[in-house]
Order: sequence, then C-alpha cells, then structure tokens
Amino acid sequence: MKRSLVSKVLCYVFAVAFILVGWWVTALIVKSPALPTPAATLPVVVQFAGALWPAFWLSTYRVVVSLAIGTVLAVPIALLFARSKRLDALFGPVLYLMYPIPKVVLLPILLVLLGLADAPKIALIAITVFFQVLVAVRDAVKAIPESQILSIRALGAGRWGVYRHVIIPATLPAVFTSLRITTGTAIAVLFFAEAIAGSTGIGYFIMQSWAMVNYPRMFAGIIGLALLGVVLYAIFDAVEHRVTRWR
Amino acid sequence: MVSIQHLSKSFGETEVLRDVNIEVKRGEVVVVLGPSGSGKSTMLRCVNLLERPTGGHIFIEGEEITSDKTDVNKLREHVGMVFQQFNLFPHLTAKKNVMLAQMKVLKRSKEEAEKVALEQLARVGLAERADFLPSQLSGGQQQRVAIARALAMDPHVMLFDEATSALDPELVRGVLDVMRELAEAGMTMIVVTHEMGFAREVADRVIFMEGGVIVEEGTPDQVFDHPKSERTKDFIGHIK
Ligand SMILES: Nc1ncnc2c1ncn2[C@@H]1O[C@H](COP(=O)(O)OP(=O)(O)OP(=O)(O)O)[C@@H](O)[C@H]1O
Ligand SMILES: [Mg+2]
Repeated sequence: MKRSLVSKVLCYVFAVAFILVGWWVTALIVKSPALPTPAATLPVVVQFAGALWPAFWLSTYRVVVSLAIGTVLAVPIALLFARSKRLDALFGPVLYLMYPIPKVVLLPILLVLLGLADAPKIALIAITVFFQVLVAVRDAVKAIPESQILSIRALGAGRWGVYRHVIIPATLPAVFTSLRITTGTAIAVLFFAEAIAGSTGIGYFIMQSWAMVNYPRMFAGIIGLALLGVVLYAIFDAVEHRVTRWR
Repeated sequence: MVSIQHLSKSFGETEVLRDVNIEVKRGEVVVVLGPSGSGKSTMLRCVNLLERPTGGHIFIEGEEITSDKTDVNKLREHVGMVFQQFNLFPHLTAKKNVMLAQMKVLKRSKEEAEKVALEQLARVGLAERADFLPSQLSGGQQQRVAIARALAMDPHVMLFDEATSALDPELVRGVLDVMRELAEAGMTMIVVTHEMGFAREVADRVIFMEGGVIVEEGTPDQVFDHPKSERTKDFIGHIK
C-alpha cells in the first residue's frame, strides 16, 4: 500500500519534470515572448494573479454550473431511454443525428437568444455535456445484463430497489467517466465562448492580453485555464475511481 | 404446492408456451428438460411472475398468483430463484450479499439477517468464506452464495434455471451437491438442468418440453429409459 503510493508519487514527479523539461526546451528553441520558460513563468503568474483571479473564478463558476446542469438533465432522460424500448426507438435516431454535431456552432444562436453574459456560455457548455452524459449513461444501462435485473427482482426488489441496487451503481461510473472525458471539450468551448463574446472570464482575459501584446499576462491566463482543466479532470478521475470500486 | 394450469405465454406474435400443465407436490423435485428455446426459462419465470402469463392459472399453496389481486412482492418472498448467472453484488462480501434482501425486503434486523446469512452460508459449505468478496470466490462458490441468498428468504419453493450451466465442469459438483441436500431436506423444487445424472438421482419427476409444450412427463426411469416419444428419445440420446 505504502510502496504503491510512493511509486505513484514518483511517477507524477517524473511526469511533471518531463513536462517542465519539454516546455523549457521548446521555449529556448522558440525564443518568443509568447512562450516564456517555466522559470520566467512563475513570477509572471504571481504578478498577474490579482488580475487573473476574478476571471478565473468566473470561468470556474461557468464550467461547474454547466457541468451540473448538463448532467442533471441528461441522467434521468438517459434512464428513461434505456428502460423504455418505445422511447429509445422513437428518439434513438434523433440522438444519433444530434450527437456528432459540434455543439459549439450553436454559439451565435445562443448569443442572439441569451445575450452576452453568463447564460449563453453556460447553455453552450451544458448542451455539450448533456449529449456526452446522455449517451454514456444510456449505453451503460443498456449494457446491464437482463439477468441481473431479474435476479434482484426475484429477491423481491421493487422498481426502486432495482434502480438503487443495480441501475444506479452501474451508471455512476459512466457518469463520471463521461464527465472526465468531456472536461477537455467543456474547457475548450468555454474558452471559445468567452473569447468571442462578452468581456469576462479567462478566455476574454487571454485574448485581451494577446490584443494588448502583453504576452506575459496572456501566458498567465493560459496557465490559469490549463490549471482549471487539470483540477476538474483530477476530481472526476478520483470520483470515478471511488464509484467504480464499490460498484 | 405449485399448480400450473393451462399456462400460455406469448411475446407479441410468438407463442412461447402453450397449454402447459404441471403439478408439484410439497417436497417434490421436478426436473425440466428440453432443447434451447423450448420455453423452460419462460415457464419458470411465470411461476414468480417475472413474466406475466398471457393465459392460464398458477396456484402456489392454494392461492392463485395469476389473479390481479396477487401481491407480487409477497409472492416472491415465498419463491426463491437461482439463475445461470450468479449476479452477486460485487462490492459486498458473501455474508452481506446474503443479508441485503433480508433487511430490505423482509425488514429483518441487521443482527437477525447476519445470523441467518451465516447459517445459510454454512449450509452451502461456505462458512469460512463469509467475508470474501465475490471476486475472491470461484464460480461454483459464487453460485452457492446465490443459493444461500435465496434460501435466506425462507422460500417455500425453489426454482433453478440452469444453475450449473455457466460453471467449469469441475465446479458443477459442489453446486449439485448443495441442490441434492436441499432436495433431501424436503424443499419443493423445480429444476431446469442438463445434468442427467442429477435428474436421475434426485428428481421425483422429469418433464420434457419442446416448442413450448410438454412432450413427455414421468419418473426418471420412464423418461430416460423408456421414453414414449421419438423426440424425447432423440434428445436424451444426444445429451447422454
Ligand atoms: N422477452 C422476450 N421477448 C421475446 N421473445 C422471448 C423473450 N424471452 C424469451 N423469448 C423467446 O421465447 C422462447 C423460449 O425462450 P426460453 O428462454 O424460455 O427458452 P429456454 O428453454 O429457457 O432456452 P435455453 O435452454 O436456451 O435457456 C425463445 O424462442 C425466445 O427467443
Ligand atoms: Mg433458459
């Protein structure tokens, strides 16, 4: 147990070192103020931390709320789909056609409908997340062997018992796997939406710095956004591990 | 004890069971044989209403379960079922697997459920494996836990649907031994199996089904050694 923890930590230390070295070498080769070396970055991030902080929190808020809304809408609909042959037959094709559409193209429409503030950004990310979670949970429920449901019903479980002891344990890992996988897309959509519309959030912060030719400030913003992605990813990964273990 | 009268079942257009009649007396062991798709599983599932019959009547201990007034949950308390797949809860130990339904469905206290679980695990020969997770048990042991889990509900009838079909040959024996002991202890059982040795030795009666109807019925001697129908003869010749 202790050994594996130590070796795990060592792995991450190695990974961080590898990334830093790669970054350093690239920066030395590129020799551009847009890509400072890791050593030059730390003071830059500290310097702009005050300016970045409000943008960072606003972006965090947007992503987290979007993830929550997308998930809360997707899970019950997915469960309905998966347990009803008729609904699935009716809406399966709709889902099939909608799923691969890059939801980010909806941004202009959402901007027209919802203005420039939080609403269109949250809506856009939530829609993106919604489809990912919907499909993942639907497939997870469909993958439950019928015999598993029969055997718990045979023990006297009612509808709720089946959900509580079979369906929910089978779907929770799928929820968090899909959230983890969607995190990258969600952050990308966030960046895009903030960069294009409005004057708030890290996306705007980065593009504004770029326009002002303030590369250190821009780089501080990039670090902030990267950090947001890594932290969310790590959280979902950890939760996914937990729920997979007691599955 | 169990009386199946003119049972029929269709899925949409397909008729899966047609006019099936089976009488099982208290303490009797009835073995059901038949080729794949003959409707054995569907028939068993009708007995605890996992499938709704489309026609006919089923009585358990004199009470008609196929009437609309039947309390399905109450019924399932008296009818235990074991499937080909063990379907234990992977995150719970053997003991907890046996405790859960007792507490949730029968509302037994934790202490009582635990006591019953340990008794039933001992009965299937797994007393010292009570704290193992399913992943730490062999398939045969998992199936015995599943049997203990069903027995813990104090069923009056036990249904077995190919309980040994998913097991490696060397693990089949242990499960069949448990089933044999259960039969000897006087449990009423309906057993779908391809294990001819078990059927011969344990069954009071053997039923051969094909295409959703009962083709032949009798003592193991009659059905195995002097089958009346050609189909039965063929089937038994094949499986021997
Ligand atoms: N839910 C269902 N919907 C439609 N058809 C079904 C359903 N369940 C079973 N059937 C059909 O009913 C017939 C009998 O199935 P059943 O599972 O009862 O056979 P079986 O005798 O248990 O076969 P096996 O030995 O393969 O387990 C099969 O043709 C099967 O395709
Ligand atoms: Mg079957």
